Amino acid sequence: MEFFSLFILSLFFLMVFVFAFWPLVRVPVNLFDMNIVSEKNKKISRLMFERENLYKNILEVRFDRAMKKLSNEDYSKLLNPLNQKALNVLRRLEALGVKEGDVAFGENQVNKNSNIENDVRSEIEEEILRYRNNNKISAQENAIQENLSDKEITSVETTFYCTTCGNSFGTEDKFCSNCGSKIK
Amino acid sequence: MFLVDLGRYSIFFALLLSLASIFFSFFGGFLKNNRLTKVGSNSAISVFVLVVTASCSLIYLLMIRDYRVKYVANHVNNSLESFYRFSAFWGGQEGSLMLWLLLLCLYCFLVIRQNQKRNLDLMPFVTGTLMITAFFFLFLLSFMTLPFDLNNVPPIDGKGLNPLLQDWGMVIHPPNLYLGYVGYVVPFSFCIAALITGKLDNDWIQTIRRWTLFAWFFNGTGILLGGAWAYKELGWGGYWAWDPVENASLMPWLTGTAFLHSIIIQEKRGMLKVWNVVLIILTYLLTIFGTFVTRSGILSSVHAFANSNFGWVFLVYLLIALFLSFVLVFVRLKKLKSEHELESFFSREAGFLLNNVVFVSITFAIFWGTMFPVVSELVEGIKVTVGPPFFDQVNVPIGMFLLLLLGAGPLMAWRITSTSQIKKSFIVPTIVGLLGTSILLFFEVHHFYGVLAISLSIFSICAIIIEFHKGANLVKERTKLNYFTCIWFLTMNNKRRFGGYIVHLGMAILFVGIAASSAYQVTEEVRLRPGESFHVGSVRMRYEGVKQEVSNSYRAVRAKLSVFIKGYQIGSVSPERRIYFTPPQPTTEAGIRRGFFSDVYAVFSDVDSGGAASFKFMVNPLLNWIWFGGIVFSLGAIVCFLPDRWSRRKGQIFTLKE
Repeated sequence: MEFFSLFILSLFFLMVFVFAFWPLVRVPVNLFDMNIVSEKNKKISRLMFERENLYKNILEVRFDRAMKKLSNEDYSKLLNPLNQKALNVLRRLEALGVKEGDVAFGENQVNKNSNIENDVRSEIEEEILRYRNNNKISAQENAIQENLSDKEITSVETTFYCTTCGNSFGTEDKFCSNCGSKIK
Repeated sequence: MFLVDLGRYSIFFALLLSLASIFFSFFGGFLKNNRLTKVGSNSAISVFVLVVTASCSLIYLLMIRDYRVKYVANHVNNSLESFYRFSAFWGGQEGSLMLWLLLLCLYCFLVIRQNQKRNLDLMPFVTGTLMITAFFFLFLLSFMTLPFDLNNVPPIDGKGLNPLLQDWGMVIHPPNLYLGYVGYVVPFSFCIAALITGKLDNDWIQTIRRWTLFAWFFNGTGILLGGAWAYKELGWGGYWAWDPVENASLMPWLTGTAFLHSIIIQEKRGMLKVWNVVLIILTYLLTIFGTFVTRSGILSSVHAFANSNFGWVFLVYLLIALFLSFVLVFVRLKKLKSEHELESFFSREAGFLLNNVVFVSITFAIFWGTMFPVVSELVEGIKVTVGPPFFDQVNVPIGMFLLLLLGAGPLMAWRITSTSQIKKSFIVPTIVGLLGTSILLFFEVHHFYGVLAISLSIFSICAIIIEFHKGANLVKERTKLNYFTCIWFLTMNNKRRFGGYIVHLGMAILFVGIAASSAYQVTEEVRLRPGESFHVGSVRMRYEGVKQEVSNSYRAVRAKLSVFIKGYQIGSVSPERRIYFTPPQPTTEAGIRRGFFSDVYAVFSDVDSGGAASFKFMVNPLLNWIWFGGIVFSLGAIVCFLPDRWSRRKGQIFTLKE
């Protein structure tokens, strides 16, 4: 092989190896750095992911109802737990300092720009505001709730709230004890 | 020689770097050491660069016809057009393995780029698993089958590409199929990473959905293109022969389809976690199995590569992968428990579950039929051939059930569908389906499975059209846009659901084509003198004569036949017999007159000195519906694949405010 060809080949392979093993000498900033993701951010990311899924599920149920695939009874049976779960996730996100419309760590802007989900979000946001005004939950209480174990959080999920005034009610109640609205 | 050395050393150094990548990725992942994981991912990117270099070198050597390289001398010749010289890259064993590897490394590079800030815990193991597969292929290319091996004395002319492969279908089909085949490695790697780390929530499922869809789409279109090629080029009037290699390409598609359905259940209900993991492992193993079948020589197939001697290496790899994957599943069994139970048999989940059972049953039946000759040879010493009758007998009844689910699934709601709702949803499609059956029986069409398949397809098509109609009306009520714009907005705002329905629609159309062309095909063989006519079903064929042609690469005898229906000439067909110069091989070019209702297919066998010629004529009813169904299927898959941001605000059906 000619000297020049040998030189080019060696240079090429040397460059490839240097690129591969360079991080052993010096790790570039911000790439593949696991430490930049704190536990809190991971928790937020997981909750946001859960939130997006719940929104999608809520939309699916509403869509099935609109397509007349679900009876009214089945519809409320499916929707209520999903709404409650979504509220719960939002409350936990609030306790971690995430406002509505924020995007999860490491995600792009796709979800933020989704019109359907923005509308779903605004609706649930209203429910949250109502809930907060009626129950006066302070940020401190929210923070305490965030530290509840998963078992305790499940018990929170089973509490239902009036969609008109935000007052809590039991599974057997048919009317809200605060505003008198019919519970769907 | 520079390019040969560049290619050869690139493969060798890629082998070393893939080993480094595996080592550093796994150790970095276990020790949570950023430096090591970074070396792992950088090494994987370097492997990609080296494999691209080696592939480009081989392509360039093929383009300049450098016959010093054995691969070039065996697959191109002086008369081969540049288009086919390029496609010769995947026309042979070494090249096709290079293409596998090239796509794998490309995917690995894309996955690394895509997940720079996501799935950080999983990524080292994903890279490591991808590189294990890459290492396996690099090992084959370095020690078992060398793409840059040299001839002692370079020949003046090469052997040329197999004439059957000199067709546009064969230029697109293999890379298309490989894009799918190799694509399944990505979801498999994420699955293994999730199993190793124990992070088995929905994150990894969310990440791989599009990758699986991508692989599944290309796998599916690759199979269809292969069928289209076989129909046009092989001259036997069919498109699918249950050949071992064809089966090997269908099996991962079937498990991939099952997986795509069952991950929706995991995403929505947290169910079927073990099943999903098993399905994606099976899909990966089936892709390796497919590659093994093509190269092992254990099964005879028109598609297999001759003179392969490393089938055992594939088998060893396959068994190791199978063992390790299932050990991981077993270790993580507790974490893979379902979050919910199935609430009602009449729900979409139940429909998905049933379709999964059907897909896996078909896969198992095909696997058994494909491997039976090998099993029988091992047990009794006699190689029993399993032909299309076995596959038809087993798969057709299961396929009927699948066809029913194709339409019934979209009519179901998640979790519960009450009996009254089922009645309401099913009544119209059932009536239309039965109407279809009556019409077929009225016209004295009596083939049992043919009638059943077409009726069920009509049921499914009707069910899907009703879904679109209902949805479009909903949009119309709220937006007052015109009907077709409403359908567009409906689809764009619910891409997964309605894209999926389009795929179902495509499959139903495809099934009509398969059922009609298989059950009602008319075949006749005849010898005609010039000017004589012959009736095939309702078609009259008149033989006009033959013409000889010589091109750069072959000599051809072409017959001309006029086609008449009800006394009117609707066109002509020109079947050919070709004899290629290098390699000296005869081929048959069928003469096809394609039509919406039926294809007229003519194969020309021989001609005597008096001009009398032998023909095989076929009338294939509704065969083009298969290709049309395939196009609809592809469109649906593309809709599912589009990003979420492509939503249309105007067409929003409703928000939570009702």
